[in-house]
Amino acid sequence: MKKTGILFLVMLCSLGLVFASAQKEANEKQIIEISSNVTEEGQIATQQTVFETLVGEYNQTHGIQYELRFVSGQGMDITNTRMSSKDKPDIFTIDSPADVHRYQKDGLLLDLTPYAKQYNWEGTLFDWAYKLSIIDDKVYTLPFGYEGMVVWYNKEIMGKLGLTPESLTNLASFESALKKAKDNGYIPIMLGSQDWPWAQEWYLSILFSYTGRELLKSTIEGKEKQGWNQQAFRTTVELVKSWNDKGYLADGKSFTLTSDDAINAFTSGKALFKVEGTWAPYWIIPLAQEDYEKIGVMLHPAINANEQPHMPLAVGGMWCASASTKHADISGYILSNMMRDEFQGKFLESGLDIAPKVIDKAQFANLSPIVQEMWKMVNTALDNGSFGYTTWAFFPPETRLYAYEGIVDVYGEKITIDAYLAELQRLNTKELKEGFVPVIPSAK
Amino acid sequence: MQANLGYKKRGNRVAVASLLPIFLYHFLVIVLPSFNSVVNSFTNWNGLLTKEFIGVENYRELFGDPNFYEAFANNLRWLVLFLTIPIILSIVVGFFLAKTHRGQVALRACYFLPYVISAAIAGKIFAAFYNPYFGINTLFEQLGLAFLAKDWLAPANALYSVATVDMWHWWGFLLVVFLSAMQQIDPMLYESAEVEGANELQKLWFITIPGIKRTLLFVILATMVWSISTFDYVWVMTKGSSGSSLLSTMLYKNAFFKYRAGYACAIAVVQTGIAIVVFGGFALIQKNVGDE
Repeated sequence: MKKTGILFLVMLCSLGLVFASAQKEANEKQIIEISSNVTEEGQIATQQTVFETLVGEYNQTHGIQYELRFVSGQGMDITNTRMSSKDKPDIFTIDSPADVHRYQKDGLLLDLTPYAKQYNWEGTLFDWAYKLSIIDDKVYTLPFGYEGMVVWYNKEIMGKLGLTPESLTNLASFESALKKAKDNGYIPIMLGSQDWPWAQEWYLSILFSYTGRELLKSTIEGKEKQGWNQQAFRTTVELVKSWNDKGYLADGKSFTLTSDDAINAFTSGKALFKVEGTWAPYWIIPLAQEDYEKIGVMLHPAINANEQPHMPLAVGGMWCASASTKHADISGYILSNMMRDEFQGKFLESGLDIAPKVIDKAQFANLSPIVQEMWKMVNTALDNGSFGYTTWAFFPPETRLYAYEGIVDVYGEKITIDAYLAELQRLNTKELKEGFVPVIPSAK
Repeated sequence: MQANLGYKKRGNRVAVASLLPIFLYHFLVIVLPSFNSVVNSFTNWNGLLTKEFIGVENYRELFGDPNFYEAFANNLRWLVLFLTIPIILSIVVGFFLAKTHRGQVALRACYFLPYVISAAIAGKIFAAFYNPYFGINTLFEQLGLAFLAKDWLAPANALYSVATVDMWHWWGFLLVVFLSAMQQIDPMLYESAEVEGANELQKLWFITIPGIKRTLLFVILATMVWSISTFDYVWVMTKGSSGSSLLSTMLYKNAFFKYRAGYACAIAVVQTGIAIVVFGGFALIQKNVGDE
């Protein structure tokens, strides 16, 4: 009995010692947790390196010992769950500006205005991006990464069909190219959404934006009497459905193909066009030289007489700090300094989002020619104000979800085009009332 | 007598002490959150912090939502498929396998193998098989069976295509379960039947099926409950897109992509209610059959 008592006491003391030393260690080292939505290995490594550098800098200048805990692959399902719990990350990403409003409304976001002022976010970010960061006159997020919707084409097929990107100037010439491709046994436009339903919204983003940017903006903002039910949107949906029916859009199989299938079909010379945004370099860069050289990039031709070709624009993600963070200062430091040009080159090389600001041209110099050409198109569109609106950046969440899910039902004739547009209008009106329509910048 | 009672009491205490930790764990991790979900189903919870009581509004909306009926109908289709094809297949194959003495273990392992492959991997493999450009369609075309080629994951076929993959994964497990039950049947019954001149079908129907009755009822019950809550294969292969939405995929999308966690909780409550009714009803049948 005595022995048992002694053993018990020894165990108790050991546990006490272990607990005390763990406490001491926790007190000495402070953890700054960054939660990112990035999933690709090389991109994770780049982000980790940048954040480690910034934490190191902060430690050095402030004489503090912060340790970085970097968690990647955190999609919105995980982020929403964590942010509703007590264990919140200090810095995290939200996928879309439209989602930010819910977080702000619930008081989950740190007011970053002092850091925005200290580090001059207004003078650094593009005007439209800075506006996206503001809610009720306060800065809550750092919009990071700008991307645009473009069309990738196969130069070889284009040549065989006697076409050039310059010859595709309007709907008639574009439709004729699609028909020519189909008649010659090619898939005119490649798109695969089986494992990534969001891919359907890539093309919709182009087509809705091309219907009329002002019209789209005022429709989302609820300023159009008929809203989504107007003839202009009906014409656009009729057009894309007719392309799907004719097999122009991935042989009418866009929702049965995976993203990899679509990439493989395009790179193996089965398809003339591939609809994808400026993030495509993640699969273009690793291609073999001969495949790589076959790929070109262009803006989608106009689909009506009202709207010229332009770049539907998006932000890749919104970086935020948690309102409950105990490390506001370092969070503000990291967010502000990740915009520095020296990091943008690293981000560019691994195909990561870059800061929506004017970036030193030297950072683009190491990129492959096609990627350089793509960025030139994006930056020209921005300089000229010739940008449009993607669904995932400027549509409220439920309207956005329905836009890309419902279009498959339209293709399958499960619902009519009118019913599709009516539901878009219903959801848009509801979300407008709830205050979930993001700020939509004006384009020129 | 007194000593016997003391032993029983001690035995009960041991039983309670043994069960208490798992009960507490289950209560904290399953029961309490479930009650929480019921409470949340009466709110407009957005999955973050906003949460206001809205009465039965979510349920009113749910029962008027055509997506709910589509998803529920797909769950029922799924149920019918799983109550028939894998169960019948595993019983028939098990019946013949039970008679096989050479190579039974190897064959059993072979059939069981898909069960150890995760849904994510199996889903990816079959997504490649269903690819219209290099999948089984190409094989059909090469064999001159082009009429069999289909858009496997198009809305009209998606549910059945995904269910086929899940059944491929599932039936081997059922086979092993039924096989163990079949091996408990007295071989004398088969010998007597043979003497009486019974054919294989008669042996299966009059000896095997009654012999595995309890196992069969359990499998039917489990299949019914699992079919109502199934999620993984559909999510991996189609994300519950048009034609293959289920109650669970509808729930997930509402909770995490539409910021309608309160509505998602209402779906979860209805889904659980259906499972409880099925479970209760079938448990009653099982009890009656067992009593017989």
